[in-house]
Amino acid sequence: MKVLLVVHQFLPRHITGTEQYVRALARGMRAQGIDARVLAYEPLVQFDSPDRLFIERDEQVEGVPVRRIGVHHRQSPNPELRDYENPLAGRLLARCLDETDFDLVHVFHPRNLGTAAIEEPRLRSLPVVVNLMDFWWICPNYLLWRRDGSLCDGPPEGGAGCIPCLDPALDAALAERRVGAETRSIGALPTPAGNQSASPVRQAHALLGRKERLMALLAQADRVVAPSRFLARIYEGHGLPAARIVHLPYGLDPQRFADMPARKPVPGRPRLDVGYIGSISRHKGVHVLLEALQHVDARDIAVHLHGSRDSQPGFSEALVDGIRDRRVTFHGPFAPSELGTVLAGLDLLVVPSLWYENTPFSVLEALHAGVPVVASNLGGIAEIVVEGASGLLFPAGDAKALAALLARIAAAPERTLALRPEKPPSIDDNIGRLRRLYDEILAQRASSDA
Amino acid sequence: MTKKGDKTEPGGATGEDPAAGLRRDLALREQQLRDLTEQSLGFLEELAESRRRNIDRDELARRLGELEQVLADARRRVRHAGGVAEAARDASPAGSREVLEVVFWGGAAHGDAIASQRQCGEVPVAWVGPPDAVPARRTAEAHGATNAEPAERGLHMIAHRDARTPAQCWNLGMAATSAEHVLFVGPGHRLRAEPRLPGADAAPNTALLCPRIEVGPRAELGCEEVQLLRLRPREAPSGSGAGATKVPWPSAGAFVVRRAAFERIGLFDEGLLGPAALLDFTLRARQQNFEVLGVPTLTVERTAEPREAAAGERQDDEQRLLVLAAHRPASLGLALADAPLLWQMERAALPGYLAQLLSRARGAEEADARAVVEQVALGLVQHSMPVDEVCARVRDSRLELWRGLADVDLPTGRDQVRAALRAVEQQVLPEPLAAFAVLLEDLAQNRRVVASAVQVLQQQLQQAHSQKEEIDVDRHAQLARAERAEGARAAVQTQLDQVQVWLREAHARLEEQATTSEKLHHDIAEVQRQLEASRGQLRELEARSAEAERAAHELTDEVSAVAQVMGLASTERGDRLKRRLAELHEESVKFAETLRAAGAADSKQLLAGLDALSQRVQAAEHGIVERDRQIVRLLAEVQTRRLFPRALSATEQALLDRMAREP
Repeated sequence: MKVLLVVHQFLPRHITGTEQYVRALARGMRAQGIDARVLAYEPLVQFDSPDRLFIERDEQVEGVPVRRIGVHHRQSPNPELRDYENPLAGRLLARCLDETDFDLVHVFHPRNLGTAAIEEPRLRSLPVVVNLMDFWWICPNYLLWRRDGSLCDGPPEGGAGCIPCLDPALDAALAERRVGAETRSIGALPTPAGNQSASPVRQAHALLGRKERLMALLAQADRVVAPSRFLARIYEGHGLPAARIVHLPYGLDPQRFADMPARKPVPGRPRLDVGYIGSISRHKGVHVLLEALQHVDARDIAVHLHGSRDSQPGFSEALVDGIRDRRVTFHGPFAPSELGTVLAGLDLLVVPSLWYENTPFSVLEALHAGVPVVASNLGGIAEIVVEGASGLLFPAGDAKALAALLARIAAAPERTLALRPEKPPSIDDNIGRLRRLYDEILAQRASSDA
Repeated sequence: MTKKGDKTEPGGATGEDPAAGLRRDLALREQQLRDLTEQSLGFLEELAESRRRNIDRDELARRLGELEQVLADARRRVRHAGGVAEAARDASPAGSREVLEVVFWGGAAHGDAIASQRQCGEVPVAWVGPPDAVPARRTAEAHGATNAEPAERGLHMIAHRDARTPAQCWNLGMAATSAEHVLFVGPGHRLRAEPRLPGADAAPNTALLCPRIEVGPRAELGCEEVQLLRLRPREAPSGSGAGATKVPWPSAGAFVVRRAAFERIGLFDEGLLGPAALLDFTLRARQQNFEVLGVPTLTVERTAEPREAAAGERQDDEQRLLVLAAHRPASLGLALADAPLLWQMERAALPGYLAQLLSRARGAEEADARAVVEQVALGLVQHSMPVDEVCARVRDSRLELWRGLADVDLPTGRDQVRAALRAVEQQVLPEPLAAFAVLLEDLAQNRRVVASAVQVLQQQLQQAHSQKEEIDVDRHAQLARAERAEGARAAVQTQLDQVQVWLREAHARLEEQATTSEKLHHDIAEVQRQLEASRGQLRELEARSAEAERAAHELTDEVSAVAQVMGLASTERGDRLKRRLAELHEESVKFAETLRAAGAADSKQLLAGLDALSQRVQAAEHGIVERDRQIVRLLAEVQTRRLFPRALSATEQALLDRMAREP
């Protein structure tokens, strides 16, 4: 069986949870006899190949064949449209599909590649499985999290409400040109795929029709895999047929923890090591953790911040530069191979996210390593962090509640630290279930063909 | 594993496949919809840019307003600096400028203006004078009343509080008009016919034109000088058809100012009262080589004689001497000696007048100034004025002379002026000659102070001129920018109009396309519904086809087996097999009919039924045989009984025979 795994970015430059998961799946599948290959979009092509309009090259990443494609932004200057309509990238995907007799395409994140990730396989009668990784199919900033920090239910006013949230400058440009009403009136019309120019009108139009276009496309997938029931419910609420959704929690690659050193024994700890793993971004709520720490008097607490500052440079620079508490240490990002070492040094992982997290890999990894998790009671986190069993929950954004939890744990750490969370599924479990899913889809196709 | 070759190619379906056709049609419709969206977005982009440019245009209009305000302000300042004519020129575009306008000046000329306005035809007529000279009825009309006489409706009224002296009226008249020539008509003069200027007679160096003034049976054409700028009317040459001729002096009663010359010469000197301002203007014109021409074809009627009052003549003399001091200072002494005005003048007024006289004579050489003072002294002595009175008047004149300078904000020499003033106040001279000598010294010192101040002022003036030139350059640049901006604004407006027209058309097309699109969507939905139905039918047909094919395969296998059983050679199988198949088919049909008739599902059930039927038949046959035997026994009894014997029927006999034959 030949399977193409499609992802919006990939190793080695990009190392977030999605890329790690795709890597683990691809390696595991290949180990189990599935010819899994990766088609990865490279969003930074204009930096490493500034003189190229696009890239298309074959690589090997940890034994996995990777077709890396990318299109220079000047070829598709409309950022709102490029996010989900990128015709040239679609042609590159089509070429990849035509070169190899794939049996199935599994899309993990089609950002920057766009609708072609589903349309091109369907044109070739290839089955398509889509993994929901976040809210990208619904929300242009994929977070369902407004600029003012509040949670969002989905594109308001048919997408018109997304314009000031996503790009105030675009909103101002539209107001200056006084064509908001006219643009909204044609918001439901399909986006012209051939024109990528970046006028304010076209940027706005790309946002107006986005959700309807993408959700209709998502409904054409043979199966949609939701790693959390919360995510499934959100997408169902936005019109995705429930019959298409398959609940499959993320599995972890145990190899990543092979070199993990032994954790400190609970008794006799000199201090409580609290960790944060994730990008230094506002929606991740790392500032809530720092604010909570101000309300904790205990001095035998050390907070370790691990993560990249590239996601939101302005926010992260201000936050890291503003750290005055000596109990806080910013370590920056770590290599995937250092995961075990980092987790072994923690007594507790704090996940103070402010957005509807799907299933944070940092939580799964901590649970796999036996590290209790203190997390926001929001979105998919509450499905994997069981209160009193694998960790503790607090209201999202409530720094004082988090402070109270930390103070309580610092005062009597034995009870919390003695928690032994249940390990999440392994990547092999995922591969087994996915294989059955693939077989089922192919069998259905074969029977319908017959 | 699905092979690449087995997959349906996108859009590669054959014409026989209706589903592929529908898909293609669907894709085509969707592409049409995208094309329409593309058009709509294109229109919207243009509309957006147009509206954004409109904002720029508004900004430009605001800037234009500011520039116009600056320009108006600059014009006001220029007017106060002596540029009334320029302002008036700018007030009207050159293309629409009149050749001639008539301005009646002075409060007493209002009636003449109204009377003349009826005769002037197409030539614009204005009146300029003080507000209190306007009749109450006319003032009421200006405030909204509508009962003005028709003749006044075309009269341009210029009522201004500063329109007291002729010079003020003339300047206002020039400022309020824009014609190339302005005919000023004074009180007591009227027009009897539409005034016309012979264009060819207005030479480029002409500053003033003198109309023919008809006074009863005679006519005047300008004035001539009697003595020391004292003028008298000049008799016009006989006949009104004579051409333009040089005239020494214009008459204040009626004269024409050529605007081009006026712009060069400057304003009428409003410091001069009465007609002397025209005298001064004429002299300044002559200094710049302009001439005065008489135009006999332009006729004005004098309806009232000029004033004859002694006070009026004295004022004219005073003003005439001031003009003389400015333009012919060497003759001033003679003029003073000739005129008794210094002795008739009130003592309080004399020092001021002498100071004014001396200040106007500053341009004169020292010898001329000495002559002036000597003439003043001689005149005073000649008229036997008491010594102490002469000394007092001289002292007053000296004081006025220095006070005149002290009141001026001199750039230099202020200390000298203050010292001289103190010296004059403290000094008492009993002798007239000594007083006059000191007066001469004062005059000389006064000249030096003034010369020094003038030098500084000239430098400042040069700087001011430079700044003014810069302002002018800047103003011209602003005007050019404003013109360009206006051009751009007009172009943008045109584009906007075009875009709006285009937009309306686009909206109409959009609506039409939306209707088409809606119909398309409806068609697409219908097609999709049909497609789904077709697919259902297709699946059903495919299933039935598969079943039939499977049955055919089974039949073929069966036939092959039968053929083998029948031992048909491969070469013989062809026709015979076909025949046999036909037979089999017929038999199958019969068999099927049999099955249907028997109500059996298959042959096994049929055979079972047949077996049961056979058993029932056998039982029936057995019963029949038993009944036949019983009948035979009964018939035998019938044959053998003695009671009621009867013969057997043929049937009964046949039965007996048959039974006898059978075992």
